[in-house]
Amino acid sequence: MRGRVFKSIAFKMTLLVLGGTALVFATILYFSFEQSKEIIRSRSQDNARNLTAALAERIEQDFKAAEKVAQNVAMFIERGEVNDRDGLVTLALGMVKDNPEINSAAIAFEPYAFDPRARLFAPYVFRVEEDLEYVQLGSAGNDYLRTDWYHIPRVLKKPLWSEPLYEEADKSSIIMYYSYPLFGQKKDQEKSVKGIVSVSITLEWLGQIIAQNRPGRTGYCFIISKYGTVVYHPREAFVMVESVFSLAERYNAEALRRVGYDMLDSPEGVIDYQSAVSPEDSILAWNRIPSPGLTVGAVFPKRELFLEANRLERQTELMAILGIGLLFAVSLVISRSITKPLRLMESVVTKVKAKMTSDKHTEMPDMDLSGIRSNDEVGRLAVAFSELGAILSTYMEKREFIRERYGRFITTAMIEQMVSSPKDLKLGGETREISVLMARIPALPEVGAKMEPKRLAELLNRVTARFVDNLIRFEGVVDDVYRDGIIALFGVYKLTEDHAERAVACALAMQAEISEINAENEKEGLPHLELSAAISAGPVVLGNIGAETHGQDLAEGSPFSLVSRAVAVAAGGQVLVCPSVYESTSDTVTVMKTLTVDMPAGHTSVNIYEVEAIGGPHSVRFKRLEDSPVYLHHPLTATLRKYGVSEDAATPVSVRLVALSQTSVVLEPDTQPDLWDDVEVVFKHTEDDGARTTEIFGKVTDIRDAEGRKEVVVSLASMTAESFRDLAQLATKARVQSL
Amino acid sequence: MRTAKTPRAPLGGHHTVGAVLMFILLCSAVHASAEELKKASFIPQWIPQAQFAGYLVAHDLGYYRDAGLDVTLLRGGPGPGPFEALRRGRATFGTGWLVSGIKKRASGIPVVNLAQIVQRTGMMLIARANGEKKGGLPHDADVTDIAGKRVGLWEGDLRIQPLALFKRENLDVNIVTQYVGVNLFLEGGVDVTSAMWYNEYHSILNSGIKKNDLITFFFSKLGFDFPEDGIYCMQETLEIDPKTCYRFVQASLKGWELAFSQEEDAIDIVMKYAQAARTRTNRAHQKWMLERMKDLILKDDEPTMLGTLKEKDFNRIVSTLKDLNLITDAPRFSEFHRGQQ
Repeated sequence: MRGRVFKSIAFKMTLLVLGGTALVFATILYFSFEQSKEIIRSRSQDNARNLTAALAERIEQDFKAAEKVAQNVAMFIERGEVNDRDGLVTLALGMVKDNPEINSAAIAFEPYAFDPRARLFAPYVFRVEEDLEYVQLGSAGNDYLRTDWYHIPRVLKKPLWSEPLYEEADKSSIIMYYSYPLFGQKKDQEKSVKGIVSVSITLEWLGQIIAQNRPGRTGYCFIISKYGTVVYHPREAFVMVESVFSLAERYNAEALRRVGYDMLDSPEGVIDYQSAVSPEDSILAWNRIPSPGLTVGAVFPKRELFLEANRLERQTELMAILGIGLLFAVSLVISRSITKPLRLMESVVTKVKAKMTSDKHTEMPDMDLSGIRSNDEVGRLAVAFSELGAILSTYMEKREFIRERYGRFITTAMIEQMVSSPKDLKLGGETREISVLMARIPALPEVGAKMEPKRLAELLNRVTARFVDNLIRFEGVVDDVYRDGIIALFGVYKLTEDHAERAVACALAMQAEISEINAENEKEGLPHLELSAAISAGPVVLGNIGAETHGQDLAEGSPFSLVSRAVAVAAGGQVLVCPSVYESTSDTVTVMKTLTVDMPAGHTSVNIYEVEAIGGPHSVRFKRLEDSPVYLHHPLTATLRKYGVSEDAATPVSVRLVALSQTSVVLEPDTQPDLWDDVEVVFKHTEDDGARTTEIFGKVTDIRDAEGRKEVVVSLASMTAESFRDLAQLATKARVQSL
Repeated sequence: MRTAKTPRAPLGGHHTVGAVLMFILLCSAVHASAEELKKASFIPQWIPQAQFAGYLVAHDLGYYRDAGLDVTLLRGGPGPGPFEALRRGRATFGTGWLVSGIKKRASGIPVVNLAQIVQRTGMMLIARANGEKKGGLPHDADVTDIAGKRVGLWEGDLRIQPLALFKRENLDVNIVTQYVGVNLFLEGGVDVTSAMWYNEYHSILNSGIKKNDLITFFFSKLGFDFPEDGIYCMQETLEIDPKTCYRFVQASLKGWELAFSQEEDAIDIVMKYAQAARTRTNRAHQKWMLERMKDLILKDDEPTMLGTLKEKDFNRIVSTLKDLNLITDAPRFSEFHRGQQ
């Protein structure tokens, strides 16, 4: 049942609709979130860029101011406005005193450049808390010539900000030197450096500015030098110890190394970045502080940036899930209501199918679909379905009719073939060449009337079964059944070229069957049967053939009229074929003899052929048993009357029974019967166990002259077991007497 | 204006009396109770770094003490250097370059080489490749392309190899003296800089310059593969107390062996000493340095026992020094290298 639900249209429809909807939902949500994240990211990038730009600009001011101080002093000295020791010391003092951002100032000269008697001269003023202190550099142990702040700008001959370094004395403040070369006044030669004016600033205030401008709650800013050294970072352990590249190496983070190159190459930038140190997706922005060449960077963790967006996303997702759930319920209800008529139809079809596949005769199930009122496709389908049901109902009735009519004589398989071969079963108007086999067991009703019903049923079943087997074998169908025989058609429901051969072969095979049946019957005390068969062929208009055969107005020359005439002259054990059959089978049949038969109502006579074998693919042979009658020493008195006709026409006449066998008797009548008459012969005789009356049935097959008297030969038809035995005894006795 | 109690000299990150005192106190505190131990002091050429990992490890893990020595680590660095400290008796043992040792001995200062630790030279010249900045060399440059360039050379014995090279190659270069650090090169003050493979080269790489943007010349491949750091003492020290000398060398070698077999532990120790000396180095740099020291000490064309000086290396240096007229008479190898005792 569960499986059924999952396979139902309603479920599939719901699932498809829902799947599609969910997909659309998801796509829209995805793009909308991507879009909003992109917007947030873009804004965040702008913010990050703005923040670093603002910081860089702010910091730049102080560096610029410091530069200006050194530049002015250098110009002052170069112009020669101050050229004595005290003046230079005062100048150096003023540089620091008047400029709070400046931590120290030095005016350092090349060896012997200031005073030819003193190798080095360099007044140096620096802050100690609130005070200023002054020393002369160049004393033993602090040779300024070897320092970067002096040496490098001297070599480069240009102003320079040094790399940040720790102030020597306490190693707690990071400082940077700005050095401005003093050039000599030699006109013709390349200008030579005669000293350096240098100022230093501590970078503590940088940390304060940075700390005040923290990006978000979890973000941070940092500063690196122009060679990547960490100058400010919230992780103090990094400061002045690590560089971007040493961290990249330490954490094996190639991405960080690339970021480092980018930051040193480009004066500004924004990138998505995952830190090697704290692996979190972030936005990294940086901006150069132009004068000192420092770079200020800001890291915005995306988690924080997208916090709102992510919350919204989760809420929307939840709503989407709830919505889809609701949609599922609604669409399940709708699709179930749509498919309800289909389910109704399904149940009806299931019942009909059960009915149709069942052998039991039951009422056609109710195919009422009036409950389906919709006029959409499903409604129209229901209407069509009802109509189809009506057609099917009719068909089923016909089927029942066929079953009822033929069921006793032909197998289910045959009926099924009849009712289920629309290709072959073309009803209405078609003219087709067919063969008609008429097989009689003459006197069967008369013999049967004397039997117990149960025994009769046994006998009939035995015969019917054999006949039907043969009909199936040779693809004939029963067209009609009458009091002592059947009409079978060949080439009607199954198109065959060789219907005549099949019909002949079927008749011969039936004769053979009768012989076997008789052998069994004799053992069981059942009657002795004789079969007479005739076959004709010809065109018929297909329609309700049954109706046609039942009608009285059979057309002259129709295979039905011919065959009924032929069977009327057929004696027991004979298979007679009409000319049309003979023509089409002459190559294969073996003819015993030819009879000339008058057609009724004075029409021309026709030749009828008795066949005993057929060759070819349907090869059957049947040799009719013909005992020659034995003449009796003392003819028996008998009465003769026609049977199977009206009482008036069946007046008994006295005859003498002069000869007999098990297949025929010879009579000397006073009143002569007609040839082919079906007659009953009753005679009395005395045997060892007493007097007896024997009834036999037969057909007048010959009327001949015998020494001036007329002899009538009666070929015997079916008879009771007793009669058959009596005839045998009489014949034996007569034969013995004649010896 | 007041006179400074402690002069605050802007000298770019080198030792001060205060720092050295602190360092000595810290180191000697470790073995304050070693009364039975023989007192000795040791001075390397430079600040505590992986270049001296073996000695730092031996000191930190107590190898010296186990050898019956109470070794005080003195801080090296710019200044007169270990040989001067040995001569003045400020230190019992010191490290120094082979070329310096030979020069000292040749100049009459009776130093002896107790062990030759570094078997190859880490000295190199570095230039920028073309396309970076003015003064760069072509990518396929050879050493003759240095001609006419501004070349940064250190002072003293550290310029012997470059000068010998320039002489051999007959290169006319514009020599600029370089001091501590790589900023002169980074700022473009020189086109070519002297560098140690284990130190300055890595500093340059970690200053944002890509390896492919550098041209390097290794003196080890230019015919001046001079073994570098060795352990020295005054001949007198050896004669008076050969046992202490032997024990010091053995403990130092043991320190090196551990440093190479347990690198991370060794780097931990180096970082500990570096931080105590407030040298502001970083771990990546010390790791690089230790690995290069391992290359220079252990990767030899003719592997020898740790601490051995090969006579042919000795002779090659003597010949170079004579060639440059830096010495006239060479010391005898057997008197100079006393590693076998």
